Amino acid sequence: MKLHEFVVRRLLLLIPVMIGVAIFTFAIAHIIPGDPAAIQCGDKCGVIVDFTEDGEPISAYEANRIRLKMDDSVTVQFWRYITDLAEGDWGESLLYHRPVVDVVKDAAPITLEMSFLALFIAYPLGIILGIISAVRQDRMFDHVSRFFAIAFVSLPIFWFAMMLQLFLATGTEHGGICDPIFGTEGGCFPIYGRHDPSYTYPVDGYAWYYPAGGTGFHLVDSWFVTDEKLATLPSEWGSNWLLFKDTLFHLALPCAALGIASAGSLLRYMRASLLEVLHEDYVRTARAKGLSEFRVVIVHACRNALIPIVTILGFSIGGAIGGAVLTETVFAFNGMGRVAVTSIQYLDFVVIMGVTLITSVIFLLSNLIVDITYAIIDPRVRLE
Amino acid sequence: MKSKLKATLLCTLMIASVLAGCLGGDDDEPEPEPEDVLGCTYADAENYNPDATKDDGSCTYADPEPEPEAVMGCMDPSANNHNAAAEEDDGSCDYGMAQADIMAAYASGDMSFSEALYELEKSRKCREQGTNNPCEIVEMSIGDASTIDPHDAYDSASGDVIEQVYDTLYRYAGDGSGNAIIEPRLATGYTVSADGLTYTFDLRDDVYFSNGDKMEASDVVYSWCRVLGYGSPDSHVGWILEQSFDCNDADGNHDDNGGLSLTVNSATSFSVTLFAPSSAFISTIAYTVGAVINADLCEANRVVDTDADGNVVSDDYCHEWMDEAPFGAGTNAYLVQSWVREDRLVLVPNWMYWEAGDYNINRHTVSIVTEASTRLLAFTDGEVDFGSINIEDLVNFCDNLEDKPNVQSKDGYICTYRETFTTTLSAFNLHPKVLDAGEDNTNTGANSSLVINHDCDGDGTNDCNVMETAALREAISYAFDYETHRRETYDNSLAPQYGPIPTGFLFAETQYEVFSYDIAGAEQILEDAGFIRQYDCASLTHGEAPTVVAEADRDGTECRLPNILRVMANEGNDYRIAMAGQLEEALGTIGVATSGDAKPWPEYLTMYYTRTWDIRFSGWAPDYLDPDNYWSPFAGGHSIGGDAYGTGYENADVNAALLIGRTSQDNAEREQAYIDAFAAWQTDPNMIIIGQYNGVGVKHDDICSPDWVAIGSAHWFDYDKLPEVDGALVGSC
Repeated sequence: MKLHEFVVRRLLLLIPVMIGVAIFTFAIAHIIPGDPAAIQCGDKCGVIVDFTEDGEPISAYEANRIRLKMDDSVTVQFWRYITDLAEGDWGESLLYHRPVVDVVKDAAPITLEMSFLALFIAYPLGIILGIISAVRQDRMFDHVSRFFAIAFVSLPIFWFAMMLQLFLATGTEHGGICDPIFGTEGGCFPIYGRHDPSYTYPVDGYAWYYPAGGTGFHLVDSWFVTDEKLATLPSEWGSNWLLFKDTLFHLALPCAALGIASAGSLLRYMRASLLEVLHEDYVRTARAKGLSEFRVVIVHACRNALIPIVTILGFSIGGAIGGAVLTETVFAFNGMGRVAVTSIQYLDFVVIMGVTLITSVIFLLSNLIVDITYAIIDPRVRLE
Repeated sequence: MKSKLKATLLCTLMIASVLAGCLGGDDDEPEPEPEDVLGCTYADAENYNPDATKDDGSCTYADPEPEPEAVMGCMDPSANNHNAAAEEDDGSCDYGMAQADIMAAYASGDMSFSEALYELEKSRKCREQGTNNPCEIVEMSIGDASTIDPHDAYDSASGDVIEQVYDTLYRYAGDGSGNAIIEPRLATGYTVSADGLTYTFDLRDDVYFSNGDKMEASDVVYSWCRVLGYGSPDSHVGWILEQSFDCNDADGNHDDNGGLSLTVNSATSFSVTLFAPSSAFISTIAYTVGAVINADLCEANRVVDTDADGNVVSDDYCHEWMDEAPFGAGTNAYLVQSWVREDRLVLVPNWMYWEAGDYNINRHTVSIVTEASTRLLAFTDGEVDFGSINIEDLVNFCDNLEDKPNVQSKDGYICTYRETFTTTLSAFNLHPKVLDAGEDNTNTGANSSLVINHDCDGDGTNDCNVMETAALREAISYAFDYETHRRETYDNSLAPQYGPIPTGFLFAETQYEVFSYDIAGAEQILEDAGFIRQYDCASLTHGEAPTVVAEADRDGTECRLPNILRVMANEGNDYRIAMAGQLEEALGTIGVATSGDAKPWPEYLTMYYTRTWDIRFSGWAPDYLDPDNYWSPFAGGHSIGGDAYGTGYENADVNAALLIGRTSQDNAEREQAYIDAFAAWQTDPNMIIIGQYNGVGVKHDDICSPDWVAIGSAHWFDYDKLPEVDGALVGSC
């Protein structure tokens, strides 16, 4: 099978998978105990808010059920959901009072930007330390790095995030270990948020500065803010570089929290994979030919040892998005993780389903990319 | 030999030299005086002559260096032209035109809107200088506003923003003693017709919307009718006005401009006629739902969809436009500069704001931070000025927390005791139900059935539930350990409340302590009411018939009620769980069987709605500042528009008294009505009223805030932030 055929086929397969995900999420959303109509009015569900044409009182709770069309049968509700979905209408959030598409569209780039940057930290760190650990097997470096790898994998990510905040984001008088580097009081990195609280932006919020149709990744979009808009900013944010730096500094700790946790498991994978390869015949042959140990390890052994690492990239992306739920909550990033948590708390089903759908798409696409990459780097693998 | 010769020669030479000196001159002949060289001998002179031996007075000097001149300029930091480098004030400070003069010029047409805006900003903006950004406040909140449309907002996070942007005719304020008062805002006064039905309001004539449009009576009428016409579909907040009036025309159709009930008398006067006299009316319109919006702008941005026949399919009453508080929509002190939902909201001054005075805060940022530890770190570290700090973390900033009214502040912080009007209570359900076979608590559509297990009318057949018996509810009220929960469970964060009206409200003094923890008394009440120990406890369910133990076989461990009472609390609320646990345990000792796992919040609410509960721990926060807002929802029967918990409680005496309290314009009569209501209620209680929350707020010590407002929101225009210069705060609150 040719590559493009493989890609098209896998993309087409996404359709039934997405339908399955939609059915599954719809079912889960309706199995979860609770009633969004009741949550909406809380202690005041009994307040009479209207009357029927016959003069019968309608409570806030009943009005909510009518508005949410909850008295329709589940099959009617599901059919409405699926047909609306097909027409691009994902419904309107009860919590955010906005179309779900808009909520997800705003939140997804935040999570993806953080996750990608975290992987940029995790992969080089994990691979390099894994190589050194394997080469120096059972020596002090190996023991220490394995200890930290297990620690970072085992420690709850929210705890690790909080420790980073405490040590790297607070002032030395409050337990921090470094002084401000840029635009913050306290420690060397900001404690929370995607931008500095004093960042002044006018009526339309971020969108006003960052170009319409931008990526939503502020690390990228910050370079496309026009001079006219930059001129309206205070001097500390008055250039593309300063905007980029502000974004980068705010991403540093959340990405470190996510990335270092992932690096721990990558280190273990890389170490195991490389150790296996180092015992292969061809490595022995390379050594026998008199190649330097560096060349043997990096050029000959690592190339093959990296193949299994590529396969876990897809899972890493999924893991990073999963980890973002906690990281975003700790660092007050309003990405998909925090949106999902908040929506679950308020039983905002349409948002829960929207986030689940988009997360599934990201996960499937990343695995598709991994499969393609895998096929390219390992000729023994055939596309089927 | 050679050395001897050398020594002889050397000695000869020395002797010869001495002799030559002696023979050089005659001491008696004076040497001639050397001739003086005349010139300037002063080294600092321009023409100094180093060879001169005698000064001839010719020295000349350069002009002396002029003393450096002091930098002149305006030294007042509050002036528009403040010069930080100035060393001497030259009297040139420019403070801009006076606010009143600018507004007068704008009103007369002598100044355009943009000119007025420019001058007002110059005149009113905060200019304080310091290292702590004294003109800016950053706040952390745990929840974001749902909308900034005041006519469809019912949550406090939305209200906190709405109160900065929109104005009401009256608003709630603190009196400095913990009591809530109502103060005039857009209205200057009102009169009430003799029948108590028609209110005529007089309005200020100096109020402009932020876009320069003048606020007039027609804007108020339009705003209130918009509440009713739009119907607040998301929040249902409209009920607060709907209970008082409508905007219908003679045909019963809604009229956006007032209908028969609201009449514009002039630009500064209008009248509204109520369904019935209402002593709480001013209080209801002081809630944010009574906010005044720009009618013209709303109409211009209203989206009405019609079908092919011209019938209205949907009408958003400009909600989409109003949702984010657009420019020109409100008259209050601030504008929403930007709002990134669930992230941050930024408020900046509305320079057209009518209240006299300058701004102390030019920018107020609200960041949404849900994680408590992040809020704590950011506050401690000084990245934010204040925010929601958990009770257990207050110890970092405050002392003497065990005595909250007398809380002390640690260095750098201000801790303030705050008594709120949020009540915690436990309601009794007089008409409890059980789910039908095959249904569970997650199904709000369940066909739950009433539990009929008691003979209320004494005719020998069961016709009611035991919870309809006043004696049982009274006994349960005595089985609750009020003091322990206020002191220990709530860690002194609950102030006593003896009746529906919380302390700080009008007529709160009409109530007094009746119920206290008296388990023996509770048991005696049950015994006296005929609830004797007769049922096999093991046979009890929520709705099935119990097994009666034969009198001869009773050993005193039998249960008194024919069913198990379900005591509800919700997971995550440890206070409610602890209170429910204590009550269940106490009731168990007097022969009342209970069950009550803490339920997840959704299930808790679903049980509430399906009425499948008997005793339910809950809470209530005020909508508006009137006793009726507590009495009627709590203890008023459904027949008079009360019973918000759907408990089926109807007490004719209580209802009659509440109707008087609700409608009378005479305070003495109202007071007596609430005394009567309380007297009737205490013999027939429908809930355990436990207390009202108090708490401690904390902020950095550079923040100056006005009196605590227990109902409504803080008003940032009244806040100040002291500048910090050279590590010390300048001025005091």
